[in-house]
Amino acid sequence: MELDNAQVLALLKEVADRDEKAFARLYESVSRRVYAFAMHKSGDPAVASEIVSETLYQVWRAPTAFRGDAKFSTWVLGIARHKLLDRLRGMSPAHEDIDEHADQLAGNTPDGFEALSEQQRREGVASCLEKLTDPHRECLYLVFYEGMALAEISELQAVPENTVKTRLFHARTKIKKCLQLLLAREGAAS
Amino acid sequence: MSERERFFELLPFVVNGTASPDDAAFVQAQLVQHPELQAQVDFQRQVQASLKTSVDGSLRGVPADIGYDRIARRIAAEARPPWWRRVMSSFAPQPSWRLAQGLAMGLLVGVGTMLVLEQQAPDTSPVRSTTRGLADGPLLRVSFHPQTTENEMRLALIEARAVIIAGPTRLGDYYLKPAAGHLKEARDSLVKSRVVQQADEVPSLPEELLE
Repeated sequence: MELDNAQVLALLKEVADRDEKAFARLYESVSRRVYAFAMHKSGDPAVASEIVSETLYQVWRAPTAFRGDAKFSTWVLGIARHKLLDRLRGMSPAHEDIDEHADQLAGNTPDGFEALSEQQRREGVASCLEKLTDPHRECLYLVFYEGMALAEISELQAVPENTVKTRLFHARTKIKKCLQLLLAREGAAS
Repeated sequence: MSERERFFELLPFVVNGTASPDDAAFVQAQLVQHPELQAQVDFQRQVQASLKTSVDGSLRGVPADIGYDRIARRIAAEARPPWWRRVMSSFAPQPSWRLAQGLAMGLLVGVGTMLVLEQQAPDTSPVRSTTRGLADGPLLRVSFHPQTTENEMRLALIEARAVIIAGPTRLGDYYLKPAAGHLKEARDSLVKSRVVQQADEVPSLPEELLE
């Protein structure tokens, strides 16, 4: 259950007095969200679990760092994001670049999404989401899974709001391009 | 910016419910005016549904206390007194010996002081307490990784030529006094140590840690 900022600040005050029960309550209020975020970015359950621990241990060590300016969950995801960036730095991206295949498309290829059946849409979009670059996937995740507002995403990603908009634009364009490719490949196969 | 561009910018936030009422009304009006845009709404909803299915799937069976055991171990380690304090406490006298030992110590200190005073020329410099003297900076504030063993900590301190003068604090920090004139070398050595999380130079011991 998500706690409001007043509840969070009261619990953090108790955490500052080393109250483990208060900390456990805070932990359980955000742990699965942090895990989901870390899992979405890393794809590795072991890394995701460690990121949850490391992120919330930071809350235990410095409970007064949260001042209630943002939502607690957004603030915690920001810490997790930094830890993930450190952890994943230097690792090769797991996605294939959609742009590499874009030149295979003919100029008159129809809009992939509209031409697909219900089931193809489900499977196609899921598959194309996997192929996005990390900043684009993250933006979509924050908008559509976390339900964050533009300003919150901009704060969490530490970029201007226009950059978030541009990332969303590119994410949408790339998924559409990917769907067109899937459609073109299916057409060629049949 | 064209109306179409504005529509595409706002749409994700209308779909996720965070757009302002004005922005939501604008998107609705565009949909009424251009029914073909409904496909864009369907597309964004499909992205939302795909993400939800995928993320919820990854959360299946994941308990709310995932990873808590790691933190519990760290918290327990924090609560444990540091090795040097445990070593010191092993020399602590038993209650029945306290009086005798106190008298013996007093005698030793008295004799020792007399011998030293006999050998030394009069010192006119101002007297400062040992604690204050040690607390004078610059010092190093260091945090060790929670899994660090006593031996690893000791080796890191020997390599850095520094001694602990206070800590751990509530946040697990230790304050170290490096050998005279070796502040930078001590800090560099600690920063390189794999058991040290952070090492910062501080001007002196915080007032609340002074006895």
